[in-house]
Amino acid sequence: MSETFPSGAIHADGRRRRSLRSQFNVLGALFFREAEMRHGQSFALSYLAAGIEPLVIVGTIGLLFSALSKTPPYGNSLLLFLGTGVFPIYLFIHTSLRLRQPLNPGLERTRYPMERPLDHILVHAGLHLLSSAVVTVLFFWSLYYFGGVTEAIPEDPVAGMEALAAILLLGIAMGIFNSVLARLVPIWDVFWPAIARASLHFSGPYFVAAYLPPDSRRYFGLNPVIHGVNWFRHAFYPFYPNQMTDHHYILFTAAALLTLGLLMEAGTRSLNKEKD
Amino acid sequence: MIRLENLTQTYVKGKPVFSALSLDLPSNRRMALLGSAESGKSTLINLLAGTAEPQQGCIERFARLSFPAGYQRAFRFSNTAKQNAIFAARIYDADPDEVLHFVVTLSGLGDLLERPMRDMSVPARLIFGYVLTYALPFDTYLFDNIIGPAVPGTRELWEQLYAARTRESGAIIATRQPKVAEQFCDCALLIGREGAVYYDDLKEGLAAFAEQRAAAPVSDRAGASLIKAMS
Repeated sequence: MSETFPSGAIHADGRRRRSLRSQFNVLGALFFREAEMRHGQSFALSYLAAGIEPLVIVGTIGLLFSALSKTPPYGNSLLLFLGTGVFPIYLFIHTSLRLRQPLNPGLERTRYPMERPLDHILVHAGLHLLSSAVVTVLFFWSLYYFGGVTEAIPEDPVAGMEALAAILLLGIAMGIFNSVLARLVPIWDVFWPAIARASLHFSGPYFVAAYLPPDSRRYFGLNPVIHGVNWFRHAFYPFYPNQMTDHHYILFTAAALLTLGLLMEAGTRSLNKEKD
Repeated sequence: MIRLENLTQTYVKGKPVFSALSLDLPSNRRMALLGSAESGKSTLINLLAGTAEPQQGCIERFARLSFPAGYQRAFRFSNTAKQNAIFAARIYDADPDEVLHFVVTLSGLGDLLERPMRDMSVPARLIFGYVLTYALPFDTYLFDNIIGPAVPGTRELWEQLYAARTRESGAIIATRQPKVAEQFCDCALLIGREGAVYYDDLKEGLAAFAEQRAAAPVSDRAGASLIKAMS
């Protein structure tokens, strides 16, 4: 046998550097594999396919509103107003849906011992952020370039990023919470996609939350996503009414859900092991 | 070194496989994991590899331990064998090109490596799984019963690969065949009812194992507990 064995450079490193390095190895390897794979099927950049759904929603609601010949609820461009609502909402919906996968007990057994569930959570969250960022940027850029909507270039890009980060965090927290809950109450896996998609209409994609009657506004304000949407719209419309933009509320909800989800995951781990 | 602390693992209530097992194991030796059927050899291999979590206690690994050799559960069968090899190489910090070259030359599977893994026959998958295990750099390789699958014409390959890899790395082989232990190992861990005993000299370990078998000959047969339950 004349073959030389592949050797790992890792053996030369110290212990702490080694663990940090293998962490990055796992994240990198997972990132590139999951990027081209969904539902066990591999085709290039399948993650971008998830971006089609918000585009369809924007298109259909836009068509409906034009057929009813309504004026845009705010600003000059109907598509821009819908886009600033639908894209952040779908970032939340998709993240909360797909993050059930990393903690799935069946899939946990189809991995190398090196891959931990948290690695998968991080990678999937990163991929969602990246894919929705690409689709969102493309959408707003083509509105500006082809549609001539000058407002489509955000006035305050940093606020937009912050809003998206907050929504992503909320989505991750909800995703982890869902996956734990679905293991205790399996029917939750059927309910949550329906609830998540229905929540689209309550998160203000096609109305200005601040213009709601004060009575119902209180109930709409309980939905943390609506705060994120308003936050995101501030990036595009500097004078957007900010009655329902409580930054602390969405961040606090995300942190509470994340804590609850991780605590529940740790608490039910042995119970679930027995159940398998 | 691998340190087991207070390891307890139970499948059937009241009959623990291990109870409060505390041990230090060498990671750079060729160790045989001896024990009769259903004594917990494979369980210990899975626990060491991390494919099973200990119910109580913990395992500290001061070396990079492999997955159980030939581990197939992590393969994505819609991907090609090459893609799977690259993924494994990236995760375990080896150079993907080197690993790929190694797998292509030694597995002899040729064009099959370019097809989705679901098209591979079972023997081909076994060969691929084991060659990939040897291709990745570990400090200790874990084997459950065999060092390579019994595919006709490949026996020499596995023996050569094992010899070459254990020149610098350690290995742990779970087996209940003294012949296998004699051929591939130089120290032993004997698993018995009362816990596990480490023997630095393989011969002492094998002698103790023979004694243990003589004391309880029936329990050494595969499916012994089933036969007992039926009669």
